[in-house]
Amino acid sequence: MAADGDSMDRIVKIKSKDGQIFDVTLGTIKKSKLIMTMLEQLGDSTDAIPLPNVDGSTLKKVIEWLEHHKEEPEPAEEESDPLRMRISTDISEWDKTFFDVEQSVLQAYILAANYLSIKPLLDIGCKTVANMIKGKTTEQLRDLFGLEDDFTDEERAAIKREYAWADDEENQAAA
Amino acid sequence: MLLDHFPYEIVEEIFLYLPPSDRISTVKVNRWLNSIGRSKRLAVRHTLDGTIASMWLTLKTNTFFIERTNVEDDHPPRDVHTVKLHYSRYAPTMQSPEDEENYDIKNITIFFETRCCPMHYEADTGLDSELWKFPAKFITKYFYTSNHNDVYHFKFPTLEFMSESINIYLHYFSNIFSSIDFFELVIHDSMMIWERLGLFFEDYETLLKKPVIYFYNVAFNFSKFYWSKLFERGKMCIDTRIINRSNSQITRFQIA
Repeated sequence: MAADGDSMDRIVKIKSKDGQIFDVTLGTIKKSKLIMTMLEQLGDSTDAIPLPNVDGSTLKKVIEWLEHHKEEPEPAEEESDPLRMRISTDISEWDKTFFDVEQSVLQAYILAANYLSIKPLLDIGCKTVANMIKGKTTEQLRDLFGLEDDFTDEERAAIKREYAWADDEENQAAA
Repeated sequence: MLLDHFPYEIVEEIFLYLPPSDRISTVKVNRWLNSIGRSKRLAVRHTLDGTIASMWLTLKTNTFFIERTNVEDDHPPRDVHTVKLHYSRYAPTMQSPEDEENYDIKNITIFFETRCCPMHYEADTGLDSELWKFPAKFITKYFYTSNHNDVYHFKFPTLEFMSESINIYLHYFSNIFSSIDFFELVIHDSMMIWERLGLFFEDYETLLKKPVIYFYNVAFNFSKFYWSKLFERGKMCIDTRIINRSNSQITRFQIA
């Protein structure tokens, strides 16, 4: 699809799973690989693109995020390497405020970014969750995310053996 | 909620922003998160499977004097920087180097070097220069297909390019080993390169045992190290030496 200045002003209609229709410019929505692919397949059709996995309130916020970041360049090739250098603290104040929401809303943003294939939004969501995890014990993480310890005693013992190499006390003794 | 509603690939993305200690705390939460640590589909498993390595990092800055053999070669002395990065890996089944029966050791040594000037950089571009910021491609091409003790060289026009490459490679290697049980850092002559490795050492939490740090002819300044997480864990000590080549005097410091 052409990406010149005029085509970036083209209005695209997208439809959330609860039937809300949003008009966005191509320049705003271009970071979504899913929508760009669907636009290529649809050709000149002006029908709204159905997004059955994203509700209206989440889609509205995703569009707000895309609008704010529309001038930012696409990630460089090396940023696709899964084991690349990663830093979770380089989140702008605007994005910190954007992601300062309840866990259920944060989850909706991240799942929407994944579904719509908006990598920069997904990255910031993952960094936000990583920052929530950092420095917490296993028990604190269970409390934070409301997760149950569903291991059997045997499994618990096996995990202790499996990660013995990382046990602080044992290594302190060995060091 | 939250974590257990995400597909594997999203949880892996989150894991990749975590240091090993936090990854381990997370996989101990429940069965589902634990299964992610075991999944062969995910690259993050390497930091959770007990693969242990030793690491040697040597940073050296020399002033380069070129011989006046050609008028075009003539230029003032320049700093030439060399970093030697060496890893020695042994398999997860082997819990210590003494376990010789399962001793599946593999060594890799990479030199990162600057040239004295662009003219001499052009004349000697080094190994596959495009790989300088793609360690995954480098490892696929060389590490798993070559001899166990190979040495590679990357050459760079500037210290900035070299530092960027080293940071990328250090991060990559920190994601394919669970822990570093031995780390030796040698700094020759200048702190210039060390100061450019902040991106990595600011959040490096893989070490299990005491790092050993040697200074050769460099002004000793602990403040240059305090920001590093090499010093963060209370259990770590730093065994540090200053070795002055001019009078062979060795001074040792032990920092608790």
